[in-house]
Amino acid sequence: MILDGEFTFRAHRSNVWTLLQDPDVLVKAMPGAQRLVATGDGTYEGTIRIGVGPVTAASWTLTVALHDREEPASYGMKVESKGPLGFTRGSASVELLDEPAGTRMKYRADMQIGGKVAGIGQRLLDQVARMLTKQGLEALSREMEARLSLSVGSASASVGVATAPTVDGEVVTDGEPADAAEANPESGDTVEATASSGDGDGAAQPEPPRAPGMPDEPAVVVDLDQELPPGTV
Amino acid sequence: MKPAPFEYFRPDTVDEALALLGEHGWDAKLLAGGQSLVPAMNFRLAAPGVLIDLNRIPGLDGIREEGGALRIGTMVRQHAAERSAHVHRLAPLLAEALPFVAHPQIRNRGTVGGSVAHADPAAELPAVMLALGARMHVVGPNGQRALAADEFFTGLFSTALEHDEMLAEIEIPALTPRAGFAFMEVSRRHGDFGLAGLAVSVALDDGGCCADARIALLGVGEGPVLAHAAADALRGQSPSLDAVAAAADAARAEVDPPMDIHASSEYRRHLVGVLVGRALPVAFGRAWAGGS
Repeated sequence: MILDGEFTFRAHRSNVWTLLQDPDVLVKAMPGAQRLVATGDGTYEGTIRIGVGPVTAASWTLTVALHDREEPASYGMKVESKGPLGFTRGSASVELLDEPAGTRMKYRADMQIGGKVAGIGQRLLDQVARMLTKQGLEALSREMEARLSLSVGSASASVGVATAPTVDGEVVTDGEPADAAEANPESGDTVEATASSGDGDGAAQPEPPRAPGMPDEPAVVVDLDQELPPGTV
Repeated sequence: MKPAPFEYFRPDTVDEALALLGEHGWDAKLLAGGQSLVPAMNFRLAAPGVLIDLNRIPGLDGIREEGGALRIGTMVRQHAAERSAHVHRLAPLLAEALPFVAHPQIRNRGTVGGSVAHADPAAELPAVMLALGARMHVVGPNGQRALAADEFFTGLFSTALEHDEMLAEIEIPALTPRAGFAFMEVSRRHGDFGLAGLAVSVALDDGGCCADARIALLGVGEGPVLAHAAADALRGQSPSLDAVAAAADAARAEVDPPMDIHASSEYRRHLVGVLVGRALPVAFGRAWAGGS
């Protein structure tokens, strides 16, 4: 299954790169992620738990290895996952592009899915993968903005009061990301938000940029967990 | 092909069922006809800890007319709805769609409410409810509430139902004299899930122009999808072949169908255009003839 698309984050590219490599950020963004730890330079291991519709949530183990990292522009990754309902493996490439509205991520993943999930749930894999990807990227975007906004707030204490409302504003905006996601390249709102959060980012960046990450991860992981609907009758 | 162990409850009243739902929450599943849930359990895709069987609760399987609307209890078997004179008279679109739901043996057990609450993206009945502008009457610990179909279906196997609520009854506005309808789908074999399909409901104004159109597509999104652009292209127009062709183009352009081994995304998109082009003339023809 090929899963590709684009998503715009309202943040500077260097910040996006850094946060995409941070397991603490990714674990919050991946749908169903329970644990994600770095096991080496560019390798990660974790557990995710996902249930869709009638399919009861099950735990999947996940390993991710990054390669060809060219900060802050692109990287590739290999992903493997195993669970009670099947397995997934595949590769993905991620590209980060500077944009006036922030940073545009282009991703393309080629995933193989096997086992019971693939057999019974084939009909729905694509939809589930898309849904989880969307959820993951939106969550990632929210998490990024929350972190960057908070950093801005604390970094410039005197402006704290003014900054705080901005944070709220962004959060509110994100509250309806489900809709926004489809019309995802809506740069109108994006630009304004970026302007405020973007400035402080550089200084605010507390996370060590070296941690490896799986940017697209959420999407990939998602595929694995695919729940198969029972409609297979 | 045996399910994982589960606890089984068979409440005698809706209140008991709701109490059980409240108690077991996320770990519980309501059992209606079981035509989707039970296979999923047997494949062990679904492993609910608790099953709450609604089959013995009286009063959930009525089909009646009330206030100019059709009321269908959540436990009405699909077969019963298919044979109901009320359904044929007040909601003929539903009657036309039901034979496409799986096979007769499955419709003997499967329920209207179960299919709607399950919200499979390729299922026929959710699309019908969306096209007809049905209202979902839901009961929960805080009493009853009613939701429009537009807000009821929220995504892949997702509805606005909370985990401690259940669908009790579906209300469908009666067919009006200048309204028309059509249901069509394309599947590899009859009874399979459709690769793509649609339920269409249109209304004509006094001048014979399209007053309203609801085109609900199935199999091409996370749930039933209203083709808004296609409907916009029709509203106010005389229902000519040109108008139909414009609507088909609009529908094709606004969908983003999934792919699987049965059909590519492109093929499904193509089907959407073909089906819209076929269904609208039928629906307008019926509206013209007096909504028969």
